[in-house]
Amino acid sequence: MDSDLQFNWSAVFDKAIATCNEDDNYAGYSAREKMLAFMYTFLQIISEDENKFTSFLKQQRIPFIKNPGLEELRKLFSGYCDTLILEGTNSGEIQARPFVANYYGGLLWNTFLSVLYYWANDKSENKEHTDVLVEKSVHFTFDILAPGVIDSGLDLIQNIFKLRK
Amino acid sequence: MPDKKQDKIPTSKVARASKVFRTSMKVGANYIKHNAQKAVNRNVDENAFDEKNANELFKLMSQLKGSALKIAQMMSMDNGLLPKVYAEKFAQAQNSAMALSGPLVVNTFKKYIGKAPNEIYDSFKVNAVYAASIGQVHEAYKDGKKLAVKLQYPGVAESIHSDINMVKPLFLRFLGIKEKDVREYFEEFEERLTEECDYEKELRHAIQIAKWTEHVPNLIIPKYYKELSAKKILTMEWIDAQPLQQFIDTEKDQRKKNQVGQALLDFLHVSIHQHHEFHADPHPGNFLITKDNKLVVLDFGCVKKIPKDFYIHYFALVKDDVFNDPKKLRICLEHLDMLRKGDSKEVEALFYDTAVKAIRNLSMPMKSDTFYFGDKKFYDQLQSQGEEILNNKEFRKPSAMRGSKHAIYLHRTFFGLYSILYKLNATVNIDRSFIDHIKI
Ligand SMILES: Nc1ncnc2c1ncn2[C@@H]1O[C@H](COP(=O)(O)OP(=O)(O)OP(=O)(O)O)[C@@H](O)[C@H]1O
Repeated sequence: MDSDLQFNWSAVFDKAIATCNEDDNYAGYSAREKMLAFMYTFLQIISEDENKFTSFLKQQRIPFIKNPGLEELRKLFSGYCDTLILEGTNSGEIQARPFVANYYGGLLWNTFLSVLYYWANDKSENKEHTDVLVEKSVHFTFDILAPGVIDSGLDLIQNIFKLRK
Repeated sequence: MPDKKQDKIPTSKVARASKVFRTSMKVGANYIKHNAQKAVNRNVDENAFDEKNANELFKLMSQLKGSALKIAQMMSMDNGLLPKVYAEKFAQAQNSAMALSGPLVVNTFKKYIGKAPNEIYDSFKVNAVYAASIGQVHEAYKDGKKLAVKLQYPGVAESIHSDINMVKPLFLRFLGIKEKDVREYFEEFEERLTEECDYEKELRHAIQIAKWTEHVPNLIIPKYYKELSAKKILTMEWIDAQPLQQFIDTEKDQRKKNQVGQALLDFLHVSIHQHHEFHADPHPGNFLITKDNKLVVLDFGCVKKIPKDFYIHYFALVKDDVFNDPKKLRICLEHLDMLRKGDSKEVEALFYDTAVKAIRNLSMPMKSDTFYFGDKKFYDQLQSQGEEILNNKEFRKPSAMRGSKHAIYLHRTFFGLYSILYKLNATVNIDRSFIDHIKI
């Protein structure tokens, strides 16, 4: 079990960010697209050493509870998310919601984790199914973060409360 | 169009299944309404009913995307499998776009070519310009040349089987036919779709057929770039041209339409008669027309090869001395699996008549040096022939699954060709020299 802790997540993470930045398009991407680019790049990098990473990820039984083998990665990822969320909030892509906004980072981490676990078990050709999942789950998560239905819902609830008083 | 978000595609099995279910419910409701109306009023227009249902199915198909829409289009191509009203609807079906995100486009290139698009092209537009059923088309430039880059959606090739199994029951109910009567068709669809997802094969076919038809006037086959292509990526020369359907709808000059019709017929005749290997999917969506009225052929995903022996017995039927000689005619029909030894008298009579009628229709244009395809009577005969088969209960029996695969490919190709020529109202010269080479 010691081997679990031997991953140098920060090397993988830094390489992913560096690779993203090599692409001229990356700087112009929205927060949503940056997240997509990051995940695809990250998966590409761990694919180079596929067996090592899949066997590690497959061992992890309870992904959503604090996991020492992934803690370093979580911290790095959360830091990255914070910049994306700030960027997205400033551009209006992400809605700043009182109180709830503190959980955005956690939401993205869970999205990323489920992608990683799916990837480790993906038997489709060239792990194409994972690509579809990345695409769908990142869009889904960012749809939640975006201003929209939820906000009009919150607005409605607030109004109902006001009216009842 | 292509900037629609990816999460709008219902790729999950559950999402798709519930869509199929919803439409079959709606169709069912229409059917009940229709029968109810019929009970009250005998004059309900049969076509109106079909139209309504086709609309429902159409709506579903355009949401399902991918292979489902493709199946609908293929079925509409196949004379007889779908009644006329549906056929027209699906032939026109355009793909409402689903677009891959920029990062996924880059990722696909890295996976299959090992480099990002901006490393292999001088410029590359991340936003797709066209979305098709199994992939999207991008614009790129390299060495001053404009290129079209086709990218296949991830997961499409693998979902074909489950897609087909999902739409099948819907079609069956819809048309009131039994699974076992059309099983082979569905197997064929699956095989074809799988083939269309094989871009490496498509590239080989395109290069091969382009070489064979080099000398055909007014025909353009884009140059394909092998070194810039892979299993899920196809790079070819970009040709500025308008869709064939648009040309048909707007062009007034009949001479120009004839020129296009001639190029199409020559393109297919050369590949069929000289090489027995041909583009077996001639529907308007696969052709473009340039400003100077040249025909551009796209999409070599469905190329079929027929054995020499089969070819000879099929086209021998065009010759009067074979067609009018019952003995020779019989040999040919048995060869084509239209008649079988040991058929009962009734069965034989039925197939004999049907086969003879079908051949007479399909081969009519090959009997003269020029042929006018705009004749409505000729076209309606072709169309109704299929519907007759569909409506005749005898043909739904298992013993009735007739005709070798090769015959089906040829029929479909000719039917597609003649349909386009009809829409072009074209008068076309027929090179009949192939007949001299056929001897049985
Ligand atoms: N070489 C090209 N030059 C210009 N336009 C092109 C070229 N190739 C494709 N296109 C455009 O992209 C569209 C889709 O391409 P194509 O028909 O090859 O895709 P497809 O996946 O076979 O589509 P479908 O399966 O839905 O028929 C075409 O209708 C055409 O408008």
